Amino acid sequence: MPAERAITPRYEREPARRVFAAELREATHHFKDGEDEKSPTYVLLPTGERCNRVFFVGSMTQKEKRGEQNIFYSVRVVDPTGTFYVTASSYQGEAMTQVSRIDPPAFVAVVGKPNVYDAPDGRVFVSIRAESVTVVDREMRDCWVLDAAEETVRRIDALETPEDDEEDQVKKDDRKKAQERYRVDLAAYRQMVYDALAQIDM
Amino acid sequence: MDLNEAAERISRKFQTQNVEVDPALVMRKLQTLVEEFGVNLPEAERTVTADLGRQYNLSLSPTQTTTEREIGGLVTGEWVTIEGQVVSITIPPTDAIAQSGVIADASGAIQFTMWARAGHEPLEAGQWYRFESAVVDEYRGVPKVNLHQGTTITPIEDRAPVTPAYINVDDLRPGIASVRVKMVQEWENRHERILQTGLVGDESGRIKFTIWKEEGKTPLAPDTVYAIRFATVEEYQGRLSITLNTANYSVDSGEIEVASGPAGTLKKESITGKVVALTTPGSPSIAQSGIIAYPEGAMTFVAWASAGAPKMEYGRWYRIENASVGQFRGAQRLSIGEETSLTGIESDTPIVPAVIPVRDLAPGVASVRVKMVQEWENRHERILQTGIVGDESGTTKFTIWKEEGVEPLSPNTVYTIYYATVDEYQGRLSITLNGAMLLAEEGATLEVGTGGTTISGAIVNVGPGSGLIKRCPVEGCNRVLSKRNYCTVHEIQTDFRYDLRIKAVLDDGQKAHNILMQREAVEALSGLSLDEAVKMATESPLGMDDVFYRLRDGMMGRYYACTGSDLGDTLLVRECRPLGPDRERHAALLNHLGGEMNAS
Repeated sequence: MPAERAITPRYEREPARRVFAAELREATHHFKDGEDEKSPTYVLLPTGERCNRVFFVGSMTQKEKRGEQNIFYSVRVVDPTGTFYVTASSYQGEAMTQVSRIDPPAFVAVVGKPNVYDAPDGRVFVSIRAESVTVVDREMRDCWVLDAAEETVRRIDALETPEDDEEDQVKKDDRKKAQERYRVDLAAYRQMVYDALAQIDM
Repeated sequence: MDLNEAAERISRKFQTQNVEVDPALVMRKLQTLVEEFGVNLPEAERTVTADLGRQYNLSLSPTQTTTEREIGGLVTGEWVTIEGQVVSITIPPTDAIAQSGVIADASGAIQFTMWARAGHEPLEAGQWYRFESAVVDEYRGVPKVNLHQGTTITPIEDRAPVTPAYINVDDLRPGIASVRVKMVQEWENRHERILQTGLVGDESGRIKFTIWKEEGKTPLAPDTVYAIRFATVEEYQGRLSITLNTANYSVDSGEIEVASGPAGTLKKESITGKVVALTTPGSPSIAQSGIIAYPEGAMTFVAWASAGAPKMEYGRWYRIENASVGQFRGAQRLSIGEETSLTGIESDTPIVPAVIPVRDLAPGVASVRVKMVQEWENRHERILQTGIVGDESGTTKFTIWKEEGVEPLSPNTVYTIYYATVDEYQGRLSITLNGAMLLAEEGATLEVGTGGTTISGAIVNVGPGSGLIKRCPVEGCNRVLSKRNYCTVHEIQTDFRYDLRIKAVLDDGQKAHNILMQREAVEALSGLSLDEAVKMATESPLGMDDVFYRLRDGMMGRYYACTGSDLGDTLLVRECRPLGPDRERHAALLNHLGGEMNAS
């Protein structure tokens, strides 16, 4: 019988999840997969998917240069549901150079890693450390809104009717964990997606 | 809220700081953000205020006052001291929060969040407390008091309990409120953590309510009047709803004539068709699942257990009215719910399923004529068989789940498969044969074409080694030279030849696919020829990097459909087509969500 995947497993790049700002903002649970120092860290999305990288397209409304010795940019990018807080520091030199050239307002495509951090007073924030920030146009923004809507609906549907036996255990466990950790009003999430779609003119 | 109001508010804000800003300029900035860049108005207002604030060197951050305040008048961003009674304690939504609930005084009530890291003693329901240095912020438009490390909490004795003030449904706004309402409608429960959801109302209007499953919470009885104290009112994108988990509620005397508000008209469909397959339901909430065929096509259906619909029989015709059509895994699916009526009928309408080429498969139900070309090792105990089938136009993965009466396909045999379920997973289509009708054709032959693989997604990485490269000129070598013209086998080569290529990652949100584009594909996509790229590199102070940046900036973050041959871990791209927003998908998603939301 020919083996489907005879090739030895090698490094697999983490997919970039499509998530709306309003959902990402509600993510508080983060974890590391494995003991290794290099093991990837994930943010658990309220709709039940682990996420180590995100891709989004939105409007950059503001950028601020911060820090004295370690300079970084702090950027706000909005989608139809809310705001992404993006940082670009010298650790991601390319992204920092890219950001330095962009004057808001502008449509930008961002690839980056989400970070959940606890403020000293106990509050929880999510920001994105950019790997790449590129200027795009409104069409690409609309494309992304559709894409994010579709992916979000897929996650909501899977939470609601988990009947895909083909899926691996990790996905099922992640969904279960999300249901335990978050109190997600799926109807409100559907409404969020609907309203995001209604805001783009096709 | 409109642009003018926001512009005026900004101007006023600066006036209080003795700065005159040009109203026309404020308006223009707001307009650009809102109309050209689709920024929502509050964010636009915030941005313009911050920009102008920086320009005039003003600090407009909220003032930190710690004077004692009434709960009814708290404003987001303040540091405050309040005294109030804990009128409810709720289960916190995340581990980071130790306790949450509602604090009230005579002027009003507000939610509180006590963060786990703050290390406070838990609060007791019914007890009065003094909270010094709490922070007011908002969450989804609902003001909240944050009890953090710096907050001092002292119990206060001998205070009378707070009496809630009831308000009309149409006066509700985000926050905490008490209402006297009648339960008018209960909705189908679509989430296991919801105890009950539906509509309540009074003379002034109706509102959606939700009760989450939680110890001690009981559902509301239909057509009964309740006094609901300290419920949470949320606004989500312009629509209000109330959650009763923070509230205590009891049956109240008196009758209420509920206003006929927008009661959520259901968008329903009717269909007449024949049950051509019954499949094993995937969840206990589903009573029956299968495929229904009608003269124009076929789709999968589910009958929800809660609907209590009569069992459908294989091969029988039914008239199904008031069912909702939703999207499931990219395909249309008919949902039979409580309001659906199901009637068995007699019909002799012929149904001839159209057999389509594999290349034209799309999520849903389809019929194909294919040859089984490959069987894969079984990686799941519930799978009977999985592998590849194909016809002249291309190939697709198939799966047969273990089930009574199903049999595996035989290799190299041609089958006509009626009513296979087509799923999309990780950007690739596959067909499931459970429930499908299989007709083997003995001795038939079929030439299976490869067709190539197409992957759609966004470019999220353009890797090093992309752009203009130099190749080793030694015959049969073709290795890429380093910047200093070094070949790992043939050492320094000065007589190299230039080439264009792109190594990138095309990501569909589920999987990151490596793609490799050769010169022809790069030229076609970027409009930059090899000659032009060489010229660019020789003239630019950045050299070859200039070509890299130009290609990268033109491709990153954009959507493409790339077709080529799958080399296992890389797609060797033959053709790459830029994708734009798809109107049909937009409409389909809106319909799907609209239908689902109205049905919920």
